[in-house]
Amino acid sequence: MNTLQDLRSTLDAHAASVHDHAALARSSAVHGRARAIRRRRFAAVAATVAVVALAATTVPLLSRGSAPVPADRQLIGKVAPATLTSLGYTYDFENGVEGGEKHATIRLRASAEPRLVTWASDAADVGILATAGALHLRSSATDFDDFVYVAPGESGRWTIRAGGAAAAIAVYELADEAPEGITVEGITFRQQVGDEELIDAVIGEAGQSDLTFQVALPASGLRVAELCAGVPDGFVANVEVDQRGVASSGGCGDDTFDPGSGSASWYDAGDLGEPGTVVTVRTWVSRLHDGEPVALDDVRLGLAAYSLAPPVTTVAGWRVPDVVEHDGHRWGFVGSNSSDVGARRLVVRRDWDEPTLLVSHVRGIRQWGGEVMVGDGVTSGGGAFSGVEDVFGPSGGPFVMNVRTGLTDRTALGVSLYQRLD
Amino acid sequence: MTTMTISGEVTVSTPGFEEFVAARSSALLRTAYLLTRDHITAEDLLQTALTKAYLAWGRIDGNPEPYVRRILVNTYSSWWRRKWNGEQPTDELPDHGSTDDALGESGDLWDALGRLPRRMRAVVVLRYFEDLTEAETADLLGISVGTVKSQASKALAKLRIDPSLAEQPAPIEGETR
Repeated sequence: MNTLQDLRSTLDAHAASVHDHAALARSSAVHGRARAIRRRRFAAVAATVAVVALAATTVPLLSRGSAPVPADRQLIGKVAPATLTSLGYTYDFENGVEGGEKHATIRLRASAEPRLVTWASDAADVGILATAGALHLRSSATDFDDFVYVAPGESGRWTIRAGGAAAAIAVYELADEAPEGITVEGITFRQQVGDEELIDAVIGEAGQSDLTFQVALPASGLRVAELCAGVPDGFVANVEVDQRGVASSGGCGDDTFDPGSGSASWYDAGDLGEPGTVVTVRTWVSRLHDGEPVALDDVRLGLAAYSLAPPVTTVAGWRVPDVVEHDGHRWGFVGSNSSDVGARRLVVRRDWDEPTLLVSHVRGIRQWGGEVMVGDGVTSGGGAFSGVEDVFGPSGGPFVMNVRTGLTDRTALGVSLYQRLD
Repeated sequence: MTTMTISGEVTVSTPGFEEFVAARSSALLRTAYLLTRDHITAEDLLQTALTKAYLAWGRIDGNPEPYVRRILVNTYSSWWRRKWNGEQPTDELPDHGSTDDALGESGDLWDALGRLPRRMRAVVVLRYFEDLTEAETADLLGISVGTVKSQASKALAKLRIDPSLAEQPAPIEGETR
């Protein structure tokens, strides 16, 4: 039997083991996070303004250097499709350009809604470059049969380089058709996000500031996705499941696109009860740190419950899903590479034929002072982490993970590989 | 921290954000570590709480520490999962960091603390590390004093702690910290 003094001593000892190495950098890190939040808020507002301006003045969508083409979808002798589909959403042809002698270029201003950019060329393959000349990808799809996703708020210039061959770009804008799922007044929680299935959702009308529904816990875990928009400063949107796990978010913007893939909370099966247990999911608006529901006219809330799929495998101690979404496409798991436990280095050679999405997994790095080089010069901290790296084509050097410092006998490095499903 | 005298009353004004971070964030980091049991997660939790506080700094009157601490604990309680594109770690805390052998005597108790539900762990940290009273703990967590009592009681039972064996009494309600 322990005593309270044992408990206090344990807490004190572990608290004393914390060495605050990051103290000096903390303030600037917080400022950086705050700037990012403000940028997102600003982008949402600016995007709305930009759309209004475009509608009012019919500012040309297209940039210099490429000739605009009427919306007959005929570009360099090829017909662009009337619609494209990405993650269940339909996009309508908006406009296109034919390139000059060297390339086709299009500039997109920020928009509140996502867009797709597709291309065609007489060349066997083309390079797609994003703003600032960074190579986005090389593609052998040259008949408007592939696209890149331009997220809401994103702006910039897109260029197709075809080695002197004819090239064209077409832009598609979000259509009114809703994807499969639950839709209310233009807001949709998709039926499927990655390999997660929608169980149920509720989307309130404008001004409905308190939403509740019940859901039976799925066997493999529950994900709750929330939507909050129009929540002013001084107020927060709260989420709770079964009167637990209250999350408060004051960072609600005005973006209501595809909330199912956005901010969310995950609950493992067992955290809340046995599968089949009915729990209540609720979201509501309150004043900051008050908790009492308040009614606000402009607020828009939504809440969805998704069933997690069982992981397809475990890599370096991380559960890896079978399907993920990235850049407007669905990607399926095709394999993984793992180091031996305790190994310092993992080299993944590009022995694939198609563009492949790499996801890194690291664990067992000493917490303080640990550094892992992941891919091309990226240094991360110690501990355990995982994240999407990038899409890698078939050619080029290997993808390397290298523990510079902080190697332990528990260190594990891994990479999951995904290829396009659509 | 600066003070102002208004109409004969001394009023404590809100310190600058940088000043506050420099003075108090190390202490908050220790609390975050006891809650998360993971150094990296603790730093992330603290920065998340500080960011939320920073964005609302102009609306804070007086000492901001209770406000920041409340954000910290409530954010921790809501941190069920963080993930990218559908991936989840196999464990709630994927890496518990290195074990300090010097703490071996209390290792079992530390492990048992890690198995407590989050809200219960928060109650334990606030009551027995921060030495908050039951009322202060209830206020910070936004729950009733009765819930704090029951959560603390259940936590002590799970930790196999008999309050009657306490070598040092727990703080009395209202006691000066």
